Amino acid sequence: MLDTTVKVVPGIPHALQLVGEGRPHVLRQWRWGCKARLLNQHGYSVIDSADVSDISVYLEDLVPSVGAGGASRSQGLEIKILETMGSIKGCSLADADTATMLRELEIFHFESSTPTCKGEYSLHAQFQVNGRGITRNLVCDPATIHLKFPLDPSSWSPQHLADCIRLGGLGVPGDVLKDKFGAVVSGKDLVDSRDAERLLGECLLHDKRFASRQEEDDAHTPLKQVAARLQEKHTLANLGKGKFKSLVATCISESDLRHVPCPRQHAHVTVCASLCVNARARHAPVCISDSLALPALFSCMLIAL
Amino acid sequence: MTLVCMHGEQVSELKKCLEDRGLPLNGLKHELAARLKVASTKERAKERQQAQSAWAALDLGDAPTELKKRPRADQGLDDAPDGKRQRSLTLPLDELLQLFPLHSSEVVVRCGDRQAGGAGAGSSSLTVKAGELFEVVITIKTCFGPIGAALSALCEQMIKHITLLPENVVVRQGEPRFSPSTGAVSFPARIEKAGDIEVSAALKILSLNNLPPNLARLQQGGSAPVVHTIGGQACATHVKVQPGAMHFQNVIAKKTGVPGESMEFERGEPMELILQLGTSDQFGNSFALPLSDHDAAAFVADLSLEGHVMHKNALVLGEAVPLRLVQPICTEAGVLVGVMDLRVLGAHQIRITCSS
Repeated sequence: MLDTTVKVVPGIPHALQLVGEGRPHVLRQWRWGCKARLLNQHGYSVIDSADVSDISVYLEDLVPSVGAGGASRSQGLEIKILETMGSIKGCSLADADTATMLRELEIFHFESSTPTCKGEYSLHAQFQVNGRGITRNLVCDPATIHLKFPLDPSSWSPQHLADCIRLGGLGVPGDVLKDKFGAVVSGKDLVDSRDAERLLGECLLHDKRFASRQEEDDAHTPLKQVAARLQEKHTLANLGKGKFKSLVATCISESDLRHVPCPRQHAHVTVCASLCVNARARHAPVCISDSLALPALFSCMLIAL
Repeated sequence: MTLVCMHGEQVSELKKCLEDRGLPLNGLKHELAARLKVASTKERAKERQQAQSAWAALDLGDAPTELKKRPRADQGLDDAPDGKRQRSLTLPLDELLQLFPLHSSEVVVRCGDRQAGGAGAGSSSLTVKAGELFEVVITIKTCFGPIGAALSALCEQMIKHITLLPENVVVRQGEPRFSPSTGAVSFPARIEKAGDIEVSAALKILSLNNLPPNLARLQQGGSAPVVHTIGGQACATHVKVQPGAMHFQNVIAKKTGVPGESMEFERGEPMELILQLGTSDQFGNSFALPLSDHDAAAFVADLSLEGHVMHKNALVLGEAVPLRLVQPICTEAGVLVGVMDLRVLGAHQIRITCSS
């Protein structure tokens, strides 16, 4: 009988691999967040050994903005470690599974007071070797991520607003929205307006002539929906800015609420949210079905507030 | 001191031999008288009876008083009349060997179908592996030819005194087998030391003639044995002993493309499990390494391997998990039995059991 003993170590970080698609989390004020794995050169996790403080992940403009003098700007991302107990196949030549601690990273871009512009960014990650100031670039997969609109519509530029309305299926005359006085309308203008639907009608329908009242009402219906959505987003974004912290925030993302197009089907998604209303010592576990998500959520939030 | 009991035809044959060699029949008179004294005690009654028989058989005249005594029934001896009693002769083996000197005796070594030495063998050299069991077949011949069935009693006594040579090199295994029809004695034996060994045999007999037992005991250890060579220089039988079974000395874990053993692996890093051959067999005989492709292929073809890996992390108490080892492949570093990667951090013990 012959035996030998070997020691298995995590190894040196080699690559950063995103797990699934990144998406915004409105209530957590994450403009973009995604689970990720930090892998060694053999494709296995090294989070056990790597101190997260030795890892830096950031976004860089793919197209440097003119206002920045042609230089690309970096947006730092934050990192958290997620730990779960699970079982893995401990040896490639054995069939047995071994229970062990599984670790993943969660990287996210926190929305600042000056939101990062919508667009495509290249993802970069660096690893500081043994804290000696020597950095090593990690391979990022995918290397490009797409940032969507800022979380709060009040921070949308006129261009953002026009793009969002176009995504909703409405036609926008010109590049940006202009009211009946010719003033450019931004997201803040729309959110602050007492009657957002009327303002949208001014911008989008002021040149149109309708043959009947019914036709005019039909044209206003989508404007009403767009205005309502923008108000909802604004409300959620404000809730996420520090007042509202609960498990709901960890569960509901912008795409769950259908505020942005989501590649996945949500037909059967049920969002279960335990909303803890600590302020009033009321605990109201709430189950919110997808179709009723937003109204139910608003009801809960009103109680909380 | 050895006494040989001879019966009937053997006594007649002895008498004929003495006559052929011109020796007087009473040449053994003193010897028999000495035996009689020794046999005079109650415990040696059987020897006395044998001496009486020999005395009568050789017609040596009036027997001494001691020989005339009849054995008592309570001694369990035959009380039949002398005429019907079986005639026998008890002689020391060394004296018999003086009468019947060994002559061109054969030593044949045999291993399975192969054999060497002796008149009929095709080769004077047999190749065996160290530790491999083979047979040393000794056919003892006197000047009158092979010892046949008539002298089987003599041969059976001789077997006890046969020593295989070189002593301490040829190791006897088990009991010898005597074939009365051929007069050949077969000794199972093995040799542990590699080399070219000349195998022979000898009869070693302590010369304690004419001494009473109490004096013989005193002389034991101080008397050089009489050696009668069997086989030897003239008809040398050579055994070429090669190193014995190869065995693995250790198992090492190795990184692909990196020479030598590695003790630390990154998670998921390919790890080659290599069995390293020992440089000598279990008896210390050195191999000529590296093995030839043929030898190596033959060696690994018969291997049966079992492997286990045991995680020694404190969280997961070690349970030996069987490994699916691959067909052994000979490499420069040794015999490759598996390429795997480990994914759980911490120490792992890898255990390989080999059998062939």
